[in-house]
Amino acid sequence: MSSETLLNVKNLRTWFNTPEGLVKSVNGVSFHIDKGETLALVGESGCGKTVTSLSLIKLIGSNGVIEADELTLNGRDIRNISKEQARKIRGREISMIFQEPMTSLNPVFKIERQIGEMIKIHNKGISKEEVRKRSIEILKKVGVPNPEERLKVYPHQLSGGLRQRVMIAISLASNPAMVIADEPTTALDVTIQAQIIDLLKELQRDFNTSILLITHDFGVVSQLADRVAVMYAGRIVETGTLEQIIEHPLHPYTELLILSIPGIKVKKGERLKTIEGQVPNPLNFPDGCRFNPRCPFAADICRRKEPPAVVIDGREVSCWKRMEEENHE
Amino acid sequence: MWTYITKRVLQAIPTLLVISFLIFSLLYITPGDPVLIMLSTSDTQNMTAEEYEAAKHDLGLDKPMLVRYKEFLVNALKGDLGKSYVTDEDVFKTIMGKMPATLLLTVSAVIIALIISVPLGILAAIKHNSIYDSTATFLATIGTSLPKFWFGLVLIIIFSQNLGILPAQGIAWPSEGIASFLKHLILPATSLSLGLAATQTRMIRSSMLEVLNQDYVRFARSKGLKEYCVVIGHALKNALIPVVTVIGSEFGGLLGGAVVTETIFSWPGVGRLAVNSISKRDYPMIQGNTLVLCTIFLLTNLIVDILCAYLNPKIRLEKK
Amino acid sequence: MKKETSKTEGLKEEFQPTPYWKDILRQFLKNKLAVLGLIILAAIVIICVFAPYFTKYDPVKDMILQDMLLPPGSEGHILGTDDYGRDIWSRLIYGGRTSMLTGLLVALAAGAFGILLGCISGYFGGFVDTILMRITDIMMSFPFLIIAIAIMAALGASQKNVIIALAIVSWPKFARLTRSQVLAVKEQEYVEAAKVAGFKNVRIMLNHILPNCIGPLIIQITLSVGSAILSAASLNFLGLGVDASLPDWGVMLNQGRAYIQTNPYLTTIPGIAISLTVLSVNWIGDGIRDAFDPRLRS
Repeated sequence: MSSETLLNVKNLRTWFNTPEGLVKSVNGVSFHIDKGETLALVGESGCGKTVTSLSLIKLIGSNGVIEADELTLNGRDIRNISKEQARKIRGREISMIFQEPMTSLNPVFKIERQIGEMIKIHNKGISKEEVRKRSIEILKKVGVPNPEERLKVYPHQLSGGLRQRVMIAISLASNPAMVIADEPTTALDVTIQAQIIDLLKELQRDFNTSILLITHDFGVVSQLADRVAVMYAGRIVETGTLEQIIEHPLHPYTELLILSIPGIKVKKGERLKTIEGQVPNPLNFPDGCRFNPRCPFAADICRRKEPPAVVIDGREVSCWKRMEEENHE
Repeated sequence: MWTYITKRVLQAIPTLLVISFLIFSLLYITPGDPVLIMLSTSDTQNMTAEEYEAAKHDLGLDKPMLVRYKEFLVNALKGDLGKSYVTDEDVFKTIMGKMPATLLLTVSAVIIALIISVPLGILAAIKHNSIYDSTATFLATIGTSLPKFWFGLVLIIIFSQNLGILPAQGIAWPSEGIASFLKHLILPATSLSLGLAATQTRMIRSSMLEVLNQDYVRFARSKGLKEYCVVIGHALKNALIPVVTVIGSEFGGLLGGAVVTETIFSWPGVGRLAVNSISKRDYPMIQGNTLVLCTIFLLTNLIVDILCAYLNPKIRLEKK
Repeated sequence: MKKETSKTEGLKEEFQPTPYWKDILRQFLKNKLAVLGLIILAAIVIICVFAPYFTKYDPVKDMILQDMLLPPGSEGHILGTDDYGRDIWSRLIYGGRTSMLTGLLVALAAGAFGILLGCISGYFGGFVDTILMRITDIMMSFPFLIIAIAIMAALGASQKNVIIALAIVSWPKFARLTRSQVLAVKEQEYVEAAKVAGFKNVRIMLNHILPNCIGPLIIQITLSVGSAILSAASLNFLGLGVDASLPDWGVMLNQGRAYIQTNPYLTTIPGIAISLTVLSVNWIGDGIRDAFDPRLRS
């Protein structure tokens, strides 16, 4: 694994003006992704993962504001770039794979046009034949059988798994440095999920693409990720390598997330844990640590003060309990 | 696709049968003796019983109603809708003679409505909740609330009387000079297009808003497409599917509106013919007019539905 | 989060509508255009209902021929006089009675008939549903105004016939809407519970189903009043509707048209009255729709 940094994010804040008030969907998120690396951003739905990823390519609604202390792509500051520059980053440098292959492909256009336009906009002056050739090539690469014929069909004529492969093909067609994969397997059948995960792994090896994997499912994380950042209520609560996070989760939220799905830590026949309560409303976050109302270890200080991010065992975590334990040792 | 078309055509047939029967029976729900009504233009006061019976026989009114409906229908299919009581001219020929003017007016109105509503609706949707949006919505509500014929009269007062730049009456065909043709067309067509332009603006706005929130639009944006390509290329085609459907059913309103608009602008079309024949109690002409207009409406709906199916590959490619 | 609600609990919940209506009213009052529409409409209705208190002239009998075609602002005639020397303000506010009554009766008649058929169709389903909906489809595939004109041609011109003709062409919309609402509500637990409890069909429909689809129906009735006023004005303008001696906005427009070159105000004034009335009705209708739309409230 190369240690060259591709994307560096420090203190990212994405706020939305809504009729109900200011929604701080993302509030102080920091992480970095190296070239060829897969970082998983994990958390329940509604915790700000998707907004974080969309903020990177400035693809949020007009009522949103994105700020950061640092936001660099390949060493270039992309905080205050124009709309036009942001558009040029999209697709060419960072492309996306969305959750729903059913609804993410335009129902009224053939596959050929939907792949073709991705190739065309990022390769000025390319000939029609060349576009076609490359489309077929990339479809072959993602394991779509009979790619020549598939170009001629509409999305609804493909199965869910094939549609997801087509979407992956589209997002890789411009040879981007990084792919944001937002819940790439959630909408698929279990057997197809495994195939798509294998495909992503294989492609990452071939293209040396970085992947920002967004998911709530630690099962997917454990198969794909190199490093993991756990997100809760607009913040990152813990980061670490896959092994560190799975084997020794420091934050209670991480631990509960891992124990709430079968197959990683929980063995067959054992009871799964559940996390009581819900992700808090971004209009009304609790005081102190945002996880405290749901945390089984919540103490007095957790309700009063927000825990800072500290480095414990060479990785970052924001939790009063861990800090206390650390200080005792 | 072909199965779909066949199905839609078969569905239209019972509708046409019901319409024709209703139109046929209209004469019989009219209070009074049909024989006397039909003879109303001639002298019916001093009629003897034999003359009455003879007239009844001549008019075919001594036969049972269903038999006469069958004759009416068979004749109508052959393009024979009877003769005018007033002018003795062939009804079908008269109507067809006036049809080009009506079609010119309604089609122009649709075009004007689209020219106004498509940009306005798109603008309102992409600038959602902005001043453009509220202005467009406001204008659209006003557009649906004004009586179309009154709007026409106001246009006459402004452009014809006060400014004196456009004619208030009549029609000119392109053969009489393009300038004159357009000048005569613009006021009636604009006045007729008002309601459609307003409803279409609303439709396009809400349809666009829905489509712009779809995943495939977000995916298209994430590809790095220009916003113009996303809106016009990806969103509009999807947004137009429900809009085109509505144009079909709105076309009926347009034909009805044409009756009034043609009267105001002395436009020599089918609508004005209908109003004139009502005041003259020219029943074959009234029946013929209504039947032809309903048929045209049904045909338009049929064409529009097929067009929609064509726009939507899910229907187009359906095998069964 | 989902709690298993027993059927009786479901019943109880549905019978506490007060906070719901309050909420809708609050939402409605937030909408400025809707409130403006309500104020304008209320003003128009009050003036028209109490017309004799707002004018000293009779709209039909007071013809003063030497005062004919006075322009607006003339002494004693704030909006001027028409070609028979009748006071336009007086004809306008008496005419509002005819126009608005027509609109209201059409919406109510069409609503009552359409809702009844829609309920039957949606509630019983099956063969009855197929037949009724086929009829509705056919009715809806007629061009609205043309059929109304044809009916008027057959029935003859009168206010009653205008109402009948317009009601005949307007009911199918209500039937469609009611049916779809009933279908949606019918499957819900409290209706099932009422069935299990052995209530009669009519009672289930009246007490349990209709109150729950009332929102869209109110909107449809409101908007129908507006479009019925417009359609009635068209018929009256064409001279196919009410007796020309009656004061009515459409009739006034018809009469004013002859003087469009010399006295355009005879055309503009009644047109503004119609537009303002229909506009305020539409604003109210939109306001109600937005207030009912759960997507706008969270």
